[in-house]
Amino acid sequence: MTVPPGLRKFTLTAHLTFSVGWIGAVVAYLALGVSATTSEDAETIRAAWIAMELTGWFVIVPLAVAALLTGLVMSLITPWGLFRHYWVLIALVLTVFATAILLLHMPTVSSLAEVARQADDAALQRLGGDLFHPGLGLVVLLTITVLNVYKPRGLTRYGWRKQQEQRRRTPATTGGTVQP
Amino acid sequence: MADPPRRRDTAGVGADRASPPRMPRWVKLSLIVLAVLVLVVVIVMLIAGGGHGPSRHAPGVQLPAVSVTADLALSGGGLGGLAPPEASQR
Repeated sequence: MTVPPGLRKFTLTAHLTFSVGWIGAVVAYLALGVSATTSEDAETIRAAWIAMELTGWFVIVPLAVAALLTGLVMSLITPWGLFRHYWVLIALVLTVFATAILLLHMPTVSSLAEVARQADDAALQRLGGDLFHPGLGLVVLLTITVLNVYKPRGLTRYGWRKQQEQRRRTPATTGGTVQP
Repeated sequence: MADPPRRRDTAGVGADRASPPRMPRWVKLSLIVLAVLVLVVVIVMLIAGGGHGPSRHAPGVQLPAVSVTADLALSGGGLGGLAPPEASQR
């Protein structure tokens, strides 16, 4: 799909903003999770859980969905495509996986935040934190970032087939320049 | 995804061949590493006594709102400690 360069740059700007924002929000969430895990102050634990719920639903989830959607748009309006290159395909799978786990995990966070709102000090001390999911999520997001920056080579079978079709349609006099 | 693929990138691994290209080495290595990591996580969870799994995320599985405090006190709390009652009493 051919789009004006201005629109492509705008979409890219949005995608980068949402993606980097997602990583930053997860780091902030991790800080709250560490605080809830390590703090001995009941009010700090309570506040951390309430903040984790708010950060999750109102920052991380919107950023994740927006990053996924703008990523899909970027793949459609640039020559990279969605299924043609392994790095794009893997980044897509990882992003869908991270978003799905996030959406499935957030109700549990809400439940625990509700517990934290009403629990007494002794119960709060035993509530613990949330480190596994955001930690794993951060690793996945950093992997996606590395893939997007380095763009390791490798065509999928689908990408190769599409390229062959394109070459058959493109006269040899063009020097084989490929513009999907 | 900003820059369009360069000629070399667009061609990719084995693009000039008559047959489809093989899976790149970095993809194979990544898949192996991923499989090992998943295996390690599963083993750690089994050793730790469970308390986590895809079924925990299934719709309808709700954590009790207030009465959970007593269970939390028994189980040690935290997301990893939210095991079923029979598991937390082991």
